[in-house]
Amino acid sequence: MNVTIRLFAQFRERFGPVHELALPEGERLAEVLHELAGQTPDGVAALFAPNGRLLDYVIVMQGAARIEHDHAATLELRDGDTIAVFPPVAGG
Amino acid sequence: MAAIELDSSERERYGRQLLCLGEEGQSRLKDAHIVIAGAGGLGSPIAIYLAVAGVGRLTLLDRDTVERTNLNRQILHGDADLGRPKVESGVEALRALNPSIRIEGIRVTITDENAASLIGDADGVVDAMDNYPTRFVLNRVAHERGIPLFHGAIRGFHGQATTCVPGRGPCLACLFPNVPPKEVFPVVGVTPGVIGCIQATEVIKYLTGEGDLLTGRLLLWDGLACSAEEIAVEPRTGCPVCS
Ligand SMILES: [Zn+2]
Repeated sequence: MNVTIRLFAQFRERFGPVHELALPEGERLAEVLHELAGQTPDGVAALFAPNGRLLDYVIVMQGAARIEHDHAATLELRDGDTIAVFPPVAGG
Repeated sequence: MAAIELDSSERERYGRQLLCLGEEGQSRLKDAHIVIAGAGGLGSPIAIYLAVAGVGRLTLLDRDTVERTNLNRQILHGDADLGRPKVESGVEALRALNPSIRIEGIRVTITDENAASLIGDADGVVDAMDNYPTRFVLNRVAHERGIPLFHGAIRGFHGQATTCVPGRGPCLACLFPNVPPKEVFPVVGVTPGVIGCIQATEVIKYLTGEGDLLTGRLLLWDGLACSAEEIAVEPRTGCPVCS
């Protein structure tokens, strides 16, 4: 299956803007993000807490739906999914 | 028929935008009261463009005084304003740009307790804050009052904006459940310029009924790539504010 991961703001500078991935069926969201993050030095720490959970403030969207972090570990990606990952920027 | 008449000097001042908005649209701006929360990097272009567009009443909220480190982006204030309350120098600058509208500044820290009275009967609130706890206060009060929140935020060359209209899409809490860590954020002044102008555009569109608002859409601006992308956002079941 094919899945698109789009990254924004600081994550874009760290991981690049977009990754088109060809994945085996049944891959889970958190694993895929963990693997992608691991390709960059310190990338895992930018997205994940030491306990392996996504950092609280990281926003992950599957299409128009925000994914609860509790759900990310078990959520199976579907062919054609677009996943957006970004930190909300805070400045004014 | 326009509810509020424009006088001859207003017809001249707003002549070029009357071509876009018409008398009715312009009088809707004149009839409106918008609260701008924050007189910094975002608040500066927002306030400037809403003032010169002829929004009839603007309330500027900010607690800070002007510091030299503000001056790379906070274009409402200049070198001569160092040490002055931002609402004071801001209101002065806005009155110089457009003396025909009502502009007030309130030097205040926005809190859970005072937000409702500060917002009062405004037609909309513009989020020009630099922190999420205050943004969430504004989001909750705007939702309770049934008025839109025009959100914007920036970092470096990146920015985001969305428009939360109660009953017509998600609110800010649907989108951002948690607060990002505090930091001294990097910023180049043009980034709040871009995002603030988008927010001011949204206000003008909302008040005049023109175009398609950023409701249910988060716009993400990347100044380094010079690209604007958007993510569709649904209202969240179980949102503590709006569901
Ligand atoms: Zn909500």
